[in-house]
Amino acid sequence: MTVSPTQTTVPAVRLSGVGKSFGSTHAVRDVTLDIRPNEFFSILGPSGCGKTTLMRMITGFEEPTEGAIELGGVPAGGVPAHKRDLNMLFQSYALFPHLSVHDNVAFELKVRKSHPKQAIAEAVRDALALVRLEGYGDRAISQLSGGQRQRVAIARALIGRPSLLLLDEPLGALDKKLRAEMQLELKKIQREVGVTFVTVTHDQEEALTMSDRIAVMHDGRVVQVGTPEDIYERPATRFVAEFIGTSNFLTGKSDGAVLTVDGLGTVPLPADAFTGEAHLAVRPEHVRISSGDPAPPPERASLPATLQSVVYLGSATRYHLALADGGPFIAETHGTGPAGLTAGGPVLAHWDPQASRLLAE
Amino acid sequence: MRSLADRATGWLARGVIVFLYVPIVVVVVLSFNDSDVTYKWAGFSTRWYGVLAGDTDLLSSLRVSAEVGVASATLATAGGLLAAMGMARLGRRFRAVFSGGLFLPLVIPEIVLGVALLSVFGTLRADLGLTTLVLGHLVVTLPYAALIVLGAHGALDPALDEAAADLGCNAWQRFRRVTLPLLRQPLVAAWLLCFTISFGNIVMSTFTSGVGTTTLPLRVYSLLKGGLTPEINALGTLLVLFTFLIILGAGLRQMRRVLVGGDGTPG
Repeated sequence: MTVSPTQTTVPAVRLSGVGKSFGSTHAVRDVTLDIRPNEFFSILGPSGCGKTTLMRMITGFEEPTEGAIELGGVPAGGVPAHKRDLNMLFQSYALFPHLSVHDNVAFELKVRKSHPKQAIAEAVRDALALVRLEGYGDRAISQLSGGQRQRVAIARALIGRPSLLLLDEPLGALDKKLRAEMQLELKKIQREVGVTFVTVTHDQEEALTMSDRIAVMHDGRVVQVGTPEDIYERPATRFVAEFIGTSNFLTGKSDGAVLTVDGLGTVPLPADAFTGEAHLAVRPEHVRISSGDPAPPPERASLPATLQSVVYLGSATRYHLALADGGPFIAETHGTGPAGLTAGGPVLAHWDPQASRLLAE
Repeated sequence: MRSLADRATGWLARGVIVFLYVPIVVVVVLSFNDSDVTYKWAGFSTRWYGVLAGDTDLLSSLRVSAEVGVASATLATAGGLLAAMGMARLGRRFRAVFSGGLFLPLVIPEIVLGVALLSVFGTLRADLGLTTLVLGHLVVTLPYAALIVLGAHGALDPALDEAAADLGCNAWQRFRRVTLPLLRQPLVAAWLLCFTISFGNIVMSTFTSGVGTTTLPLRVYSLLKGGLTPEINALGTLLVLFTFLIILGAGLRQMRRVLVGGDGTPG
């Protein structure tokens, strides 16, 4: 029996309260999540957050200790890995060193005996063309570079046209230039073959550039699911705001209109602010700095600070500030910022309250 | 200008090679000796090859040794492979205990093992013969096979097995299509080593062979009492020739990879 989707409207993967514990350690806790067909979905989190365990449960290498997994609407409980209609791109690529490129790519079709010999040769040619490795069929794996090995692994994983491809840190082993190239390439391949891609990564930039949607994991739980823009602009928790991009945080008590921070005074809050203990997250690119004369417009939030250092980044300039209570604050401007600021001097950091975000945890 | 020490090392290395191969050359040369004793040269002759061809006792011993060698090498290699695959599934602590147990016979003197095995067979009232010989040789060869196969199996990327499962292989297909071919070279090396150990074994054979299952080394050893003839040299020459053919044909690369280093996979 092969698990395959019966309709395109059912989720490609449905996780319902999925958990996994090894002895007394909980690697994954209560994950409920739908991955849509043909979606480029990323599971993003720091190492040890449980994302790899979650992926291994989807592939069938591990069985969940709680909850249930459905693949294409069919319960996957008890279905072994080799009977699941999905493939995995391994971090080490896991190409078979005793087989040629052609035999690696043809492996699944030969094992499943689904194609006659002539059709296999054709399918391998198509798969190698997809990853732009035409004519590499006779090579040994040991003759390939890292980037070529990954392409072979992609061709091997996609030749059986699985409903779902899982990618374990797909770009982790590549150098920086190749990585940027492969990011676009993976996205292109995914559109071409129309397969649901689920990648597991700790690299937020990778997740932001490639994904349609991202699930951010922390401590075994999914803390937020959303589009890259959702995740970046509207982080659900302080962890997400910190892990994806850079954020400044002010911690204090909200009355719904202003946040009172010990030692700093009050700052105005965005329109949808709640009341109670809270963190205010402000992205550095939303913060402007000035000498304080003329004063920034009154509707902007502002805090006095000391300029500690200026880092020129080429396309941007980053200012490291210290607030009145000594806490760090970062401002970033495109190009070169205002002139006449000297390190150690007083400045005013100000931002649009609507661009800031109030977080409960 | 090379230093004296360099030259001395060079000559020492040559000396070692000569020392290693002198016995082999002597065996070959003396097999063509037209004399009734091995230690005196009496001119060229091939008559001992004729004598050997008609010596049914010696040839049946050769047959026993070959049979025992093939059987024990095959069982030892299969056992080593199973041990390696089984131990990969064990927890860390259990694995240490198991591998300790597996390799312990290596450091126990063979004569002790032989005496112990004889007591076991005696208690079981087992008739000494081919079966007991194979079992005895298995005790000696299995640790070597396990040592070689375990090392090679441990060097395999566990993701290869998972990749095979992911690509549709059930457990048997994973073994057949991935594990076995990747371990082919170490398995061949282990088999050859075990066969050689079994074929030359005297101590364990002394305790475990029965009537009509005298191995070649035991037969040759017993001939010492009546005086050796160049017939033994003729047999030795044929064995050397046979070994060289095997090594040239298959074993050389694998043996070097496994015994000198490398994981047995190209690249």
